[in-house]
Amino acid sequence: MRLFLRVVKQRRWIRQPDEDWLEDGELKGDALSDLATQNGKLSVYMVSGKADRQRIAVALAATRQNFSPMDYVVFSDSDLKSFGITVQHTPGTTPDSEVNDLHYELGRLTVGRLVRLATVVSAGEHKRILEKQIKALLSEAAISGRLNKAKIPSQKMRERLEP
Amino acid sequence: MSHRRIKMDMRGIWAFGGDDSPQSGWLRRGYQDPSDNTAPATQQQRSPFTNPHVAIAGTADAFMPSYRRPANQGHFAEPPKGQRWPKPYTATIHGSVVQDLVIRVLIEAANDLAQRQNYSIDWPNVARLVSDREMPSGILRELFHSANYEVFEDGMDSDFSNSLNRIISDHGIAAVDALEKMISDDGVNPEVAAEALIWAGRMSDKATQHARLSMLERALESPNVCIRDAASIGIGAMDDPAAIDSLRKAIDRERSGLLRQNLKDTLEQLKDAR
Repeated sequence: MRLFLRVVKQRRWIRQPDEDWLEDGELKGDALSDLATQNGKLSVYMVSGKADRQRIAVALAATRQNFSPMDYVVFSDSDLKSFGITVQHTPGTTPDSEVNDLHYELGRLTVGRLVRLATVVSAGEHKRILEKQIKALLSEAAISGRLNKAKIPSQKMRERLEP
Repeated sequence: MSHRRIKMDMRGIWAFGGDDSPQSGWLRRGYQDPSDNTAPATQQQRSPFTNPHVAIAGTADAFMPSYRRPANQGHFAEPPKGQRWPKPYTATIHGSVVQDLVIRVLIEAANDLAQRQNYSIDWPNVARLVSDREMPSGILRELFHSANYEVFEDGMDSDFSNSLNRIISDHGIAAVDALEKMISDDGVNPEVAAEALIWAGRMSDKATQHARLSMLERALESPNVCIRDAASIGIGAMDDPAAIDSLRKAIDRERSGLLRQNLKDTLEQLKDAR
């Protein structure tokens, strides 16, 4: 069994007590916004330990323009094959080359498979790294050289990470 | 009122080019670099509107030029590189009294023009146009409406966030008050409200710091989980220990396990910031 990490907006996955129109185990359609595919593919990162999660989160935070909290979910791939979802190892494009090696694509995603995937993601482990912590982790990663500054896409973020 | 007495510099907005010449009418001055009052406006043209009803609509629009693109380019654009949109006229003068005066003067000018040209003015409609789009609530209402069509990505600038920053910087506490009313409205789009709260916490405007924090603390009591979550993010961004008590109360009330954990983490962060 492998574990995958996907960045989400946590509030889209929280169910409100007064949302009585949702049946048990149902999710609001808003959650699907976090599973937007391109050509039937979805970007995820494979994780093995806590350190991986943090490093992936920081690498992805470096692709943003501003310091902001990083919400992510870690879920198992155990049901994906039975859904007909493929898993393919492809290089990532973050400024951290080690993180790029952990990049995978979930493929053959149809609307029906996405809905089933959403159920798996919903049951995963949802976490948030606060904005202040992300800021500290990004600075540390930039200083240590783990982040290749030339590959940080936003000029604004590059400037923020200047020593 | 003599038209000559209402000559004013309203940069980048519709103004009545008041004199008794046949060329009198509604003028639109061009956008001008606010750091250089002597710089020529980039465009200056006579309004195509001769109907005072439309002219009044132009006047109401005049109060929100800083947040809008020039004509034909949609709303809430960034200015050309190296330039800034001029601040709205009312932000450069003291209080709403002068703002009201400006509105009155412009309405009076339109009335005069109407009389000279045998138009009639639909005053209830004028009143609706002016009051409905009164600053800053009118600007925010329009901004929120436009944002319904925007996709927000965490950590990325947006037309919405850029405009919101400018509105709060320009209009201060009045804008924060208006923002809180917008967010408390039952019909607000929770995604847009959440984005507003996050950016309200993230901006560095000292003059509104206390008002923004108070707004975020009150938003922790929202019945909507998206708004409560965004309020906690905004509070975390401000990193002000003054919110500790509000966070403690919010943790006690919170029924969502995920959000409660986020609130606890934010509380720990603020305790460390003491």
